[in-house]
Parts: sequence; C-alpha cells; structure tokens
Amino acid sequence: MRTRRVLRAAAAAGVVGIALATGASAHTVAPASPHWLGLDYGLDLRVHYPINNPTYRCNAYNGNSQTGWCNNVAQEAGNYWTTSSDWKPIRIEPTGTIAVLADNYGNSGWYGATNFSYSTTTGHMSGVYIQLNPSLLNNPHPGSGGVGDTTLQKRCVAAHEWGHAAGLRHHVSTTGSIMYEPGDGTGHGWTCHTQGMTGAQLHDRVDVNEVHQEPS
Amino acid sequence: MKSLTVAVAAAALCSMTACASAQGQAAGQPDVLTHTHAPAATGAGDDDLARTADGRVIVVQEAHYAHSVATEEQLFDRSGEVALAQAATVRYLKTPTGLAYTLQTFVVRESFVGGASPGSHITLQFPGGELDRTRATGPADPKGYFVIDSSWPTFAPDAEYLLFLEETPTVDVHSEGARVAVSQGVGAYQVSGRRLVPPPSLRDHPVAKALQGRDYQEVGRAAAERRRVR
Repeated sequence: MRTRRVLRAAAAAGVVGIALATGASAHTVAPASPHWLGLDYGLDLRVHYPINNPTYRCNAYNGNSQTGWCNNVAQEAGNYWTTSSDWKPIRIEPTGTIAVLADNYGNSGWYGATNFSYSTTTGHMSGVYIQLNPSLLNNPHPGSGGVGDTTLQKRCVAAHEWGHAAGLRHHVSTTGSIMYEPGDGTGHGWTCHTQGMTGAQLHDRVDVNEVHQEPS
Repeated sequence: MKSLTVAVAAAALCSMTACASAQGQAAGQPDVLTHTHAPAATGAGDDDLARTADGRVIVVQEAHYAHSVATEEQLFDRSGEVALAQAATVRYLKTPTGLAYTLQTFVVRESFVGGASPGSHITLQFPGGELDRTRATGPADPKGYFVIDSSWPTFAPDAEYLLFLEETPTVDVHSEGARVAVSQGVGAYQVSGRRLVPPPSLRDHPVAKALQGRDYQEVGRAAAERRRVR
C-alpha cells in the first residue's frame, strides 16, 4: 500500500483528490482518485465485467477489413489492462460484457469512444464497449501531421479507450498519461504522435490500481 | 454507505432525468429518461442496471473528441452563431452507421452573433439518444438502450441556454438545417439567473471553467466584439 501511495504521489503531484463519500462498506470506497470516470454518476470504484475476457469485432471500413486492428492493435493495447501482473483489478465479475469494435462511424468527431452501463444496486460499471473510428483515424485529423494514423498511433487510441474501460477519465494536465486530454483536442496529437505512447503509463497504472483497491 | 452511493447516483440521474423526462414529454416522446429502479438484484448476474422510465438501459459515452477549443477566444472565433435560446422539442435518431443522436429544437430569445431573429428556431444536433435492443454489441436488451454523452448538458424544456454554434461544421450533419455546437458540450451552457452553468463533467475543461458563473449577456457581447474586430 505504501509503495502504491508513493508511486501515486510521484505520478500525480499537484492533483487534488475528490471525495464524494466517507467511510467504506463491502460495496463502496471513497473515491481516492480524481480521475475516476464514475464521479459524475456517483458510481463505485470498480468495474463489474470480465475485463480479462473481451470480445473483438471489426467491421469493414470502405471495403477493407479491419480485422488487423483488432488482432494487432486493439488486443495489444488491451494486453496491459487484461494481463499485467502489476495491475490489481478486484471484484471483476463474470456477469458483464466488454467488447471492442472498429467500424466506419463516419466523421463523428471522435477518434474513439467508450460506452458503459452501470448498476444502480452496486454502483458498479457493469458493461462496456469500446468503439474505434477508422473513418477519422485513417485520414488526416488534428495533430496527425496531415496524414492518417500509423498502426502504433491507432494502438495508442485503443489504449486510451481501454483506460476508460478500466474506469479512468481524461486528465487535463497530466502529460505523462495515456488519458491526457487538456480539453482542446490536442491530447491525441501529444500522446500518440509527439510522445508515441502505445499503452498505459506509470500514472495510469497507479491510478487504476488505486481505483480498484479492495475496500478496507 | 451503499444506500448513499445509490442515492448519489440517483441524485445525479435525477438532475439529468427530471429535465429530460419533461423534455421528452414536450416533444410528444415517451418519458424516456425518468429514472426508475428495476426490481432489486437477487444474485450474481441479476444486475440492476440504470434504466430510463420506459426501460431502456442507460449507457454513458465518454468520447475522445477532436476539433476542440482550449480558450474562450477560440470558442468565439469558431462560433458563427451565438444566441440565448429556449429549449423546446426533441427527437432521437440514428446515423447511417447506427450511432444515436439527438435533434434538440430551441427558440431564439436573444442573438449576439449571426443575427438569428428572436422567435426563430434553431435545431441542434448532438451525440446520444435512443438505440434499439440490437445494440452494437453485447447482449440484446428487450427494452433497448439510451446513450448519454458525458460532455453534454441535459436540455430541460423551457430552460434557456447560451449556444455557440459552429460556423462550419467539423462533424457530419445528419439532418438538413441542423447545427452543431463548437467543441461539443463546451458550446452549450444552461443559463440560470443570468449565469452560465456548464455540465458537471466539464468541470476540468479550461473554457467551461472560464465561463462558469459569468453573465450570459457579458459573454455574448464579448463574443460579438471578438467577431467584430476579426
């Protein structure tokens, strides 16, 4: 626990925690992380789906199969969140669903999106699907330098969305996070192009482990 | 503690649902967003999912958007229309690729940029809305799904909003004449007692933080002045 706190302090210096609730029970812990996605919905801090057993589906985009995305991009991006020994997800139940899709969503305005449903009884996220948008990623877009994303840059987007699936929200000021998005849409250019991130960073690992702490 | 968590969740939903409930009624739509509790869960796999009044599963969308703005000057520069407008009717549709979106109609009350006449109508397109039971993936739900994009305010019927609408849409527009807001929900603020109120999910956004609590006319006039000197 101490190590985790030290890591968090190092990774999140200057970030002020937000607590919605006090005390703890079998179902609820105080949100220790200001980056918990569920704060706006009063949700508990844990996901409730088999994050280690996602399903992948990639539909055709302009007649080109997106299977490679799923096999080589989305899955690799998800490997950390699903298999890493230094991530400590708890209370992951085999009852929900998690899926990753890539499809032709048109110019929706987003590179990727994460959709989750949640339980009003447990306050847990209980089902998630991640959408990746090759319509935007395969073509020039803000921060891409006038070209479409490379495979590794798409993997970066997938890793960002996986972070949402693990319960994290955007960071507006933490540049060393795969979840960095200062609000002006430049987060993708910074994390995926300038920094070349392809997966979770130290800050994200600390965040997600804190989110998934076992209640005391 | 568990009840507190649920109560907080319910309160958060109430703030969304009370508005959207009446919103649906105003449009002759079913009362889609009134929050109800399904029968209590009885065991593993019997999850009490948050649902709308007509039974749709509530799905929250957290999207990684492009084409955003970081300063109010950028917001003003991209706004072809800035107006105080009153929420009226709402419709839920789907894009050709199956994404839910909403068309919210407003009555213009006061225009600062763009010259819309008071009493005229503006239709705003934004992501989120009804999906049927055959969602993109996962188990089909007999009542379907309702998608709420976290970056958008809930539009309450008859409530007033200061809207910043894009001069040139940066996203696909699916209905003729519909407008889109600059930088998604960063371009739409409820006006309460003349003050701008951004949605809670934008509390960290630099523009939303800068505009929060400011007088709508002061902001609208600043946008007009910015446009004038350009």
